[in-house]
Amino acid sequence: MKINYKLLFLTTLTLFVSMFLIILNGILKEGTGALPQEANEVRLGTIDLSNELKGIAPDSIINKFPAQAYLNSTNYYSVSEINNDLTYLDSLLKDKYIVREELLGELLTKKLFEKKYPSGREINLDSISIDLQWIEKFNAYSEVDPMPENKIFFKAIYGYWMKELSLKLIEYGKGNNDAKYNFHYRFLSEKFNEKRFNVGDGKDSTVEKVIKYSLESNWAHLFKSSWDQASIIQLIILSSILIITLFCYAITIIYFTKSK
Amino acid sequence: MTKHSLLLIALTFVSKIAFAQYQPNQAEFGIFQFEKEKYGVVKMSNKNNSLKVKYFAFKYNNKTISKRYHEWQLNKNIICFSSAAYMDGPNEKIAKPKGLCIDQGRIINNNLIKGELDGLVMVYPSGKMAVHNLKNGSIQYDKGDGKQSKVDPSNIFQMTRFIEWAKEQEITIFQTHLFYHKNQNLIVQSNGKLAARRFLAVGKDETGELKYYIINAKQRLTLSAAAEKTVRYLRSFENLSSIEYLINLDTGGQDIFSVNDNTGRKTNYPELKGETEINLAVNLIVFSVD
Repeated sequence: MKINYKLLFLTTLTLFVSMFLIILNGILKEGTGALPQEANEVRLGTIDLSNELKGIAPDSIINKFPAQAYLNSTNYYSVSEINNDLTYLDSLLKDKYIVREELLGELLTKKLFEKKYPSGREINLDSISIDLQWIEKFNAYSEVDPMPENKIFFKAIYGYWMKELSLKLIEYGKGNNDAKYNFHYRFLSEKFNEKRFNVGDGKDSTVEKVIKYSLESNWAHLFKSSWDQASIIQLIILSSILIITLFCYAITIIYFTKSK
Repeated sequence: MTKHSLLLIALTFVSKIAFAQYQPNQAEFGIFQFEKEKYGVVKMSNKNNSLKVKYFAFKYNNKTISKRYHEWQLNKNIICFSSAAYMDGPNEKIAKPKGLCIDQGRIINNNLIKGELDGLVMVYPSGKMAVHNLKNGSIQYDKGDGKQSKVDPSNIFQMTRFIEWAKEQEITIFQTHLFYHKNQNLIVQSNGKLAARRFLAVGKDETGELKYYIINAKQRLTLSAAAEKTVRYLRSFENLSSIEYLINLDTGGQDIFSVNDNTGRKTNYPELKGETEINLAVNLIVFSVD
């Protein structure tokens, strides 16, 4: 047999270039996925509410509360600091509901979350990790605080953040098909699942589902799912293949029967 | 084996056949032809509050749902059971019910889903069941002692109080699609995938009696088309004067459905059974009578 060296060279070159491009793509993806950057944050130290609210009449506190300064401070970061602020505001307003739900509650849930996770910003797994460690303290604190209002206050803030962070993680998983093979994502998913803010175990692609059910020998489910999800055209094609196959078998059997 | 144990087995067998698990006026089942399609239907009456609902959301003390169910049902008169809430992932070994879920006071999933699964189902330890519409700004629920309380699902502080109360009272909660609530049609037209469907409906008949229905449609329909057909069936075939609620029961990742006849034996009609065995259950809703 004569070897066509020209063809062999071209084939080898094509294969080599294709493999190089695939590996290069993998390296670039790995580079951006393995080392996510932590989101930048502005913190200007603690804020002393007794100073900030000096001279303000109690019924104007809600309107004149230094919300932005509070969100830029580190007060929210420490549970004991928040507790001091709660005690101080209670002494001024005398209405625990207003202090906990309308004032600090609103700030530490929706407002703070919008500040840290503005819509449209790329989701950063490191930021979720850090906020998860921060918010877990609120749950522990809610268990030991003897005041029923404080229990609900800290538990509610914990619940709000856990839910919103888990939704961010789900969103990240939906936007990154390879997320479930990323250790950082899987670690965070397990943490949220363990705390019962379930993010599930990711969505399987059709090919992954077929492989999974084949490995588990779950043929009945595989057939049913394929049948249910197939379009009418796919069903017609499948039926035609089946009919042709059966027809061929029938012809072969008839041929052998007659030849005897 | 001793004579006594043989006698005991024989007596158990005879009693199982001789004594009915439920009376015809408490529950009946059948296969009905409606709009050229067959439906498997279980009809249950809640006269004298005899109908009891139980929901298993997750494994407990290392016991699977199947094991929990089999241990629990020993002294119960079971009518039927079905998978109920959707799974939050494809792997049934680790999947949990999608949306807020509490299993007899134990949190299974804290994540309340708004805008999609609008049916909040509450099952009380007494076996009573209620369905609330999450789209309503305020949910008015029975605290179990006859007192009514309100909760706004969008208020995290009120929801936290509600969940803490549910944990204390050992309430069971799950979420699913809601298509009808207090006679209000909530069906949203969709071009979703075609699949077999199952619904739980509760409504009043012409005499004003509250009836529970499980309607199992084997034919492949979109969710909205199947819900609309079910409503037509309930209105015209069952002559319901009002529909309290109509919710979806999962037939996707888990398609568990089984109906017992009044001797306690499992029926074998294809229209009255699911495709998945109970040992793969991710969650289960069970109906029984006192």
